[in-house]
Amino acid sequence: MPDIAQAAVVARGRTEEVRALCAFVVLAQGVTAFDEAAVRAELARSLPPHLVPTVVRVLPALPETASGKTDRKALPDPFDAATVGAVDSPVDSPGGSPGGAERRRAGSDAGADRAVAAVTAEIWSRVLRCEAAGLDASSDFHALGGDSLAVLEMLSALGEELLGGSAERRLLDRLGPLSGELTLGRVVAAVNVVRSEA
Amino acid sequence: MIFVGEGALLWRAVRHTLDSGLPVDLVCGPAVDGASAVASGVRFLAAADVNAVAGELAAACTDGLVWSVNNRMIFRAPVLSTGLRVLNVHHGPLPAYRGMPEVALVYAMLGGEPQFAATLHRVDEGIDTGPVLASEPYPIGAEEPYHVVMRRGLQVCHRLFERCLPLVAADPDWPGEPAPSPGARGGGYFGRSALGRLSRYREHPRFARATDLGFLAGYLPELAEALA
Repeated sequence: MPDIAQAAVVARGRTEEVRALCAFVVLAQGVTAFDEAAVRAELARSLPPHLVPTVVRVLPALPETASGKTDRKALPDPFDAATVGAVDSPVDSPGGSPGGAERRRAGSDAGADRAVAAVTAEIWSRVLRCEAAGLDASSDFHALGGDSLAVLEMLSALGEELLGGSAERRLLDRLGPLSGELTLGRVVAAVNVVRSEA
Repeated sequence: MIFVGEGALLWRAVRHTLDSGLPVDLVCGPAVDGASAVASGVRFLAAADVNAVAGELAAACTDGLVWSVNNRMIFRAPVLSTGLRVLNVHHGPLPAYRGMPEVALVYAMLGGEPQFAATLHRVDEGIDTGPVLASEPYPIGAEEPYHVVMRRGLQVCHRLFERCLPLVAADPDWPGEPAPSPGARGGGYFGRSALGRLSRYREHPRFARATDLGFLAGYLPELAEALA
């Protein structure tokens, strides 16, 4: 795979009982786009299914030990919810969610909403190549340079990372027209509603 | 260089060309794309039929090159007689999968193709029949739905354009790469007739996966309607 300069694979606990292979890659110089599903599909052509990594994450560099070897223990855990929850949310509480989501949710639900906002902002920063810290609820996807292909990338990432399969239609219905104003707050609110309906 | 086409793929190509320091003499496409031209600061010519503005294209072009990117208009004699070299970025392996890419991909997935491709070819009088200059295959995962594969294909199309642009800019008569086009199990021409036949495959074991438009449904109204 010419787009990948370095890679390391480790097993991480997806749940207490289930461990999954996680690949961490460093992109080759000059490569800016990364298609995780394409990498998995390419690997599936030569590896048995149980050896294809469940997730493939891009890192700026692989951590190294003092002797210069890859420090596998220092590689992150993609399934660590605490890590996601610990990310400061750059998005204010979206509020104003229509329908049943208008009900106030407290405790763990509010924490989950903040995590959704953080993950959504991270997806935007990845697709738009901007800093997540600079985003807020009023940030507009198109104004930040996102075209229709970028919208697709963003929605697909939301589907994969926050919603799971079969939620695309409900999210599209909830979002409405994609060509108009598409703010981060509006997207986060829609994702939270779809998740609450699941 | 002149660009003919529409949508995000076209404008990504235009922006990349400008960012590369290469000239964009004119962009020609449906009137709805005019707003993107303003944002990019390029001259835009609205046209529903590119052949009706062949004279304007020939007059505007400074290097004899025309790029066709995400273009649904068919080049015919008026343009092809001007001496302009028209290059098309086609989503699909050629000569196997010609015609409407969004339809061809459904058939490719129904047929169990393990890969698809983006292809750069020179435009001749036929539809997607001109000589191939370069191609970039990409995998179709065994369990992947249509929208995932299509999204990957669009990205590969742009990557192919980015790779070939400097080669064409350096040599407008670039003969292309020696690498052969990727093979394919099936293929043919996939136009509106093929689109209309899709409903016959509802019992096909791969139909659900090959027609799972996901978030693409809003961008492919003809296909979505044919599958409804």
